[in-house]
Formats: sequence, C-alpha cells, structure tokens
Amino acid sequence: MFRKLQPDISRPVAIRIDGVAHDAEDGEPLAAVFHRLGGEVRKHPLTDEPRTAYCMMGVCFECLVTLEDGSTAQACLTPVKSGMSVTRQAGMKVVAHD
Amino acid sequence: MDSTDVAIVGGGLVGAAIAYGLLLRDRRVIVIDAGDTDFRAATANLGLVWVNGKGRRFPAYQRWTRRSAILWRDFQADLQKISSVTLEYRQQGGLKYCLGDDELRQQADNVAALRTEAPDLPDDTSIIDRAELERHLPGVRLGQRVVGAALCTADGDVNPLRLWRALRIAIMRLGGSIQTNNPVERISSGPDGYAVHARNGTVHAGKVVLAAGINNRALAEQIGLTIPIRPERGQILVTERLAPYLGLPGNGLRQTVNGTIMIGTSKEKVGEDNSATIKQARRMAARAVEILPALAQVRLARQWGGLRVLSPDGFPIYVHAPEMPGCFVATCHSGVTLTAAHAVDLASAIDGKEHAPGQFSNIFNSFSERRFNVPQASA
Repeated sequence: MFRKLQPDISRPVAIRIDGVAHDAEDGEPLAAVFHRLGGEVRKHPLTDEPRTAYCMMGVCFECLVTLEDGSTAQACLTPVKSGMSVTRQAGMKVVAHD
Repeated sequence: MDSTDVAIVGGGLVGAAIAYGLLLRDRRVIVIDAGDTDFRAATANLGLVWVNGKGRRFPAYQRWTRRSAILWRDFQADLQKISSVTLEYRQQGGLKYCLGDDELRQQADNVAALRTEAPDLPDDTSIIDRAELERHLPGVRLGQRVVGAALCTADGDVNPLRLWRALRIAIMRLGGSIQTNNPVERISSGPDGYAVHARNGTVHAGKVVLAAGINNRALAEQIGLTIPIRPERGQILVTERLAPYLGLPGNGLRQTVNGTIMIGTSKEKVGEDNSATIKQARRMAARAVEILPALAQVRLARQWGGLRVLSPDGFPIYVHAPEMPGCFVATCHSGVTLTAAHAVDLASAIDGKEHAPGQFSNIFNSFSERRFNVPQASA
C-alpha cells in the first residue's frame, strides 16, 4: 500500500471514483490516488485480471480510466482536479451507436 | 562453419514462410536474419489476408493471391498445431468501403475487369449497396457518404505479429535454425554449391533464397540479378480496445480479436524513413471517421510507421537466378496474404522435387523480374 510521505494540506480536494468520494491533492497524478487506495485501476478487458498503474509515465497503458464525458484517459497523465469523477474500467468500451 | 540444404537470407514473413515450407518437406534449413531494428514489413500492415480487388492487368497474380487465401485455411491450422501459437485467423469476408458514387463505380469497374481477365476464377466479389452493407455490419452506424462496398468472401484477417512469431517457433521446432543479428555481406560459389558470407560467419548451402525485404535490391546483385524494388512507407493508427463492434475487416479498417481498431495504412514514397507523421494521421483518421462516425469519440493508443517492399507494378518478384542455379529471389508487397502460398507452392518450387499443381509450377516464369526489362517502343 502506498501513502503520501509529505501531504500538501494546502491543496486538498475531493474527487469521486465509481461514485465514492476520496481525498486527493489538486494537480497530483490521478494514478497516485488509485495507488493509495490499493492500486486496482481496472480489469483487463480480455482476461478480467486486476491491473494497476505501472510505468507512471504514459507508456504502458495499464491505468486506463473512464472520464465523465465517456472518454478514456491514462490516470498517470491525468492531473487531479477538484470535483472530478472517474470510473474504473471493466470489460471493453462499447462504441456509442447514436 | 555451418552447412545446410537451403540458406534463407531474411527471417521476416517471406523468408520464414519459405523456411517453414522447406522444413515440412524435410530439407535442412538455416535462416540468416539481420537485426531487430531493421525495417520489418511484418510490423507495418493491418493483418489482412486479402483478395478483394487485387490483380488487375496481371491474371497470374489474381490466381496466386486467391490460391493463397484458399491455402490459408489448412496452413494456419497446421502452423498453430506445430507452434502452439494462436494466430487469430478468421475468414468471414472483407470490405472495400466506398465513399460517394465515384468510388463505388471504380470498384464495380475493377471487379468487372478482374472477372474478364480471369473468367474461370470463382465469382466471390460483389458490389453491395448501403442497405446490404448495413446488413453485413449489424449495430454499426455508417457515415452519410458511405454508399456501399466491394465485398469479397475469400478475404480474412490474422494477427501478423503472432503469425511471424508462430513461423519462427515452428522453424525451430522442425529442426531449422535462425541466426539473428547476422547481416549477409556476400554470396559466392562454395564446396556445397554456395557460400553465404555473413557478419558472424559463413553458411555453406546447396541453395540460397534471398528474402531480405528491401535489402534484396542490393543482395540480388550478388547473384547477377537486378531487382527494381523500393520502400513504401505505411503508417498505422490503433485505438483503445473496444467491445466487438466491426464484424468484418475492411481495407484500412479492421477490429482485431483483442478489440483494438487498426486504421491504415498510408502508401508513401519517402525512401528509407519509417517515421510517423501528423499529416498521415489526419488523413487516415478523417477517412475512418467518415466511414464510422463513432470512431471520433474513441481514444487512439498508438501510431507508427514501417516500410513495405514495392516493385514497379506492385506485384511479387520470384526469380530463379539463370547464372547461379539454386539461387532464388522472393520479394513481395503482400507478405501476410501470400504467406500460405509461400509456405506451400513457393517452397515446393524452390525444392524442385515435386511441383505444385498445374499453373503454380511455373512461378518463376510468371513472376520473373524480366517483365520490367521489356524494351521501350521507340518514339
């Protein structure tokens, strides 16, 4: 389990993951929040294995999350913003047919 | 010093397929391959096993590509068994999407001309309108400008990286060997027939097959041949994984078994440069979104470029060197589609012991480089 060594209490914000509120810091990588929560970011769409942020620099594509607009983002490259709401991915994304 | 029946120069899809085919015919084979960083057409394609619309003004190629598509069914079953690699091969038909009536007319003209040029071949390609295309792609919303498609039931797709890996594993399991990072420098006569001099040593072989992609141009001079090929850059875009959505592969648009959609490839004449460019990304993505508007909301995962090998007319070149019997050149653009024909008929023709049926026994006449040496009519 990861924890913050030097929490910056001047930048606390609340975000939602799968609808549940969590504490975070403004501007920190979203993937860091997942690491503090135990790590699991998504289930692999083919094998259903739990996956986590691995490279933390945008290369491995293991930390994909779904943003509020339905698009996919790499959590390690997504800065935390106050009020943001994201969901863990499970299964393959379904193409919108509208 | 190594000695073998056949030395294959190049361990990409073409060389590996021939090596695999010869090993199945109980020949001893050594594949001499260059480095991982060399240009690899095996990584620069969509994985289409494709017949649709190919072979205009070259009936021998129409037959050859269709022959390979048919051979693919048994070939892939055997290769999967020998290599234990799943190839993700499917043969459900393939689409050439048409945006606007002009494109549809061009496809119709091409299909009609191909039929006239080889009337005995199966009538497996049809021009379908938008309504029929929608029936073939349930759950897919097509862009407004899509008026129809050319549908060929012989088309299929495969994972090209798995194909390449499967061939290399099979070569080793069948007793062949692959020398990596060992570029060939020179070919001369030797005690067993020929000596292939490479960076890490010499291989003595009764026969030599040059299957070194774009490097065949330089290597063929060693066996007295001029092979007029050039690199063609192909760029590919790949999306995030999506739930199964696009039921059929298309030219330039294929959903893989893993869910990603591959978009491409570009066809650029830029020399030995495999860079990825914004210009091509824009062009390819724009066409993909015109065909499937929902793709605009999908995330791109990667873009890359690679080089494929192009002859002046775009068709393969297979040569048995007249001055050096037992030396061959094999080079082509559609290395995935032709893998099965290379493993079966081309390997058989190189082996020379027992020929492929009828028209495929004459590969080295039909696809000789001599077709590019026809004297120009004087003005």
